[in-house]
Amino acid sequence: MPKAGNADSEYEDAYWPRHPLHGETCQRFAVADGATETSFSGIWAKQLVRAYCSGAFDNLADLEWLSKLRRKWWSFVRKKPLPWYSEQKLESGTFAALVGLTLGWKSAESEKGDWHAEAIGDSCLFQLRGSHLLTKFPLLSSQDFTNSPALLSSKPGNDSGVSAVVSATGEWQSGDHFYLMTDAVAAWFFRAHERNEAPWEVIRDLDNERDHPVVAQSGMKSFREWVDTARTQGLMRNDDVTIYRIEIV
Amino acid sequence: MPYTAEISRSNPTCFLFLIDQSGSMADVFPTEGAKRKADGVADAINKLLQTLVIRCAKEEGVRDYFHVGVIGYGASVGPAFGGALSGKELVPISEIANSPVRVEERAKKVDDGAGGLVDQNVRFPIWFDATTGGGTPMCQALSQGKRILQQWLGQHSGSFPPVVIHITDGESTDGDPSQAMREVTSLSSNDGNVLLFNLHLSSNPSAVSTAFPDSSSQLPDQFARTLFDSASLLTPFMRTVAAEHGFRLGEGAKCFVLNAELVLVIQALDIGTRPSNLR
Repeated sequence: MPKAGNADSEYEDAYWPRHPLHGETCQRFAVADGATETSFSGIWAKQLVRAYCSGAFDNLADLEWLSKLRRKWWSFVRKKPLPWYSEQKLESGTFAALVGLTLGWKSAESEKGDWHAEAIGDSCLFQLRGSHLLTKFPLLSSQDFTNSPALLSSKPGNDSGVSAVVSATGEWQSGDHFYLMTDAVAAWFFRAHERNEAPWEVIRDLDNERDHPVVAQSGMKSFREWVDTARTQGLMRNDDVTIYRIEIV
Repeated sequence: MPYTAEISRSNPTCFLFLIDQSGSMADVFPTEGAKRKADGVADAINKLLQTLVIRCAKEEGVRDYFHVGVIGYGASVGPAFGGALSGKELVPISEIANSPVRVEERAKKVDDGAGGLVDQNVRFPIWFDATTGGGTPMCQALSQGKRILQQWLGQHSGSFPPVVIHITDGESTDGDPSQAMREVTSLSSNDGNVLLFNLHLSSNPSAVSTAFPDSSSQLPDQFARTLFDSASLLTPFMRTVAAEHGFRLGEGAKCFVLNAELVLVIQALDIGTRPSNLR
């Protein structure tokens, strides 16, 4: 959901896939966070998550892949003439953070498998087994968030962020939960965990169907209501919020 | 905690520039070749306005995070925008974006890709032209600024407090400005008091510049001490930006520079106007 006070169309995070496939032997998931102070960052974030999930490249630091994606972004933003300030803003390109998760199955019936994750910046992955937080990636605590995380730039030649791409691998088993989150909610998650709370219980109980009649009747909080409350109480920074919840059944 | 309010389209902040346009501003910067101080300041303000517009530009247009005013004082005191904005005191940044007086072509040095620099023409919008003449009616300018801000704060009580950037090269000719400066900095929103920068320009080639001091003990005269005493403390975020520029500041560092060359003015403008919490 977008920042409080902004329209839905101004949401600059992205996630993919919209609807996970069932029965595949390899599945990819990603969330990305387009930088607020740049323009056309939502499009860049969307292009990044789709490219990651298409499996079109070996790793995020693959410059050949990045060049292709940058060309795609530039051709999109150049579609129509822009006023002078938009032209000048484009000179510095745009930026995004990204975290991607690839789950591998040995067979369709496997109850165990491997995972591989890649990230740049402060979008985070958490792996939960029961009530044990097994993996935190790439950041490890709420203290690790800064005002200037490394990001992937859409500008040709601006490859300084590429060296900051990190990866991790691990194993999953049936019943595990994975969460991919952009920074504001990831920071909330870390802080709650550092207070010995179980933030995953809050997220598990949320429903993202805002006006779903079952949600309304059950008294469950919708995702939006919960984020609004957390922001009002000062528990979460007012930023775009994305949580991708993956449950391995 | 003060100075933490979010800056958004529904809760914008405000920058007000008070620019000395007295006769002495026609003198050149002592160490900057033939550049007149008035022209250097006009370039710096136009460049800053351009930066602010670009900062607020998004794909759909310019978001009104800022309201901006420029008041000149010299032969007269009043709004200093030219063209379609003439006479306007505070203008939303989107209106500024769409109303430059003219767009000039300026040469900019860029990397030629072979270890050298080449000139590249860039578009340079102009909203504010240099003008000089008359005395230094600083008190009158400050009292006009106070009136403008009082009115703005009445409508934006939850805003990140306005930042006033006062640029001058000389002493007030209409009285001691201490009280008028106190009246400006005593104005406040719910997020803190108005922040006042006093940027004093160099007139003398042997004068030593001082940037963001935390004590007045080394200042050369009463006029410098007045500007120091009346200036606000840098906010924690401004201190972070100052550190990026390479300044090592004391605890009580103030929004004040003395005998500044143009580079220091430009750095101070960045420190004063970089938003910490844009949404």
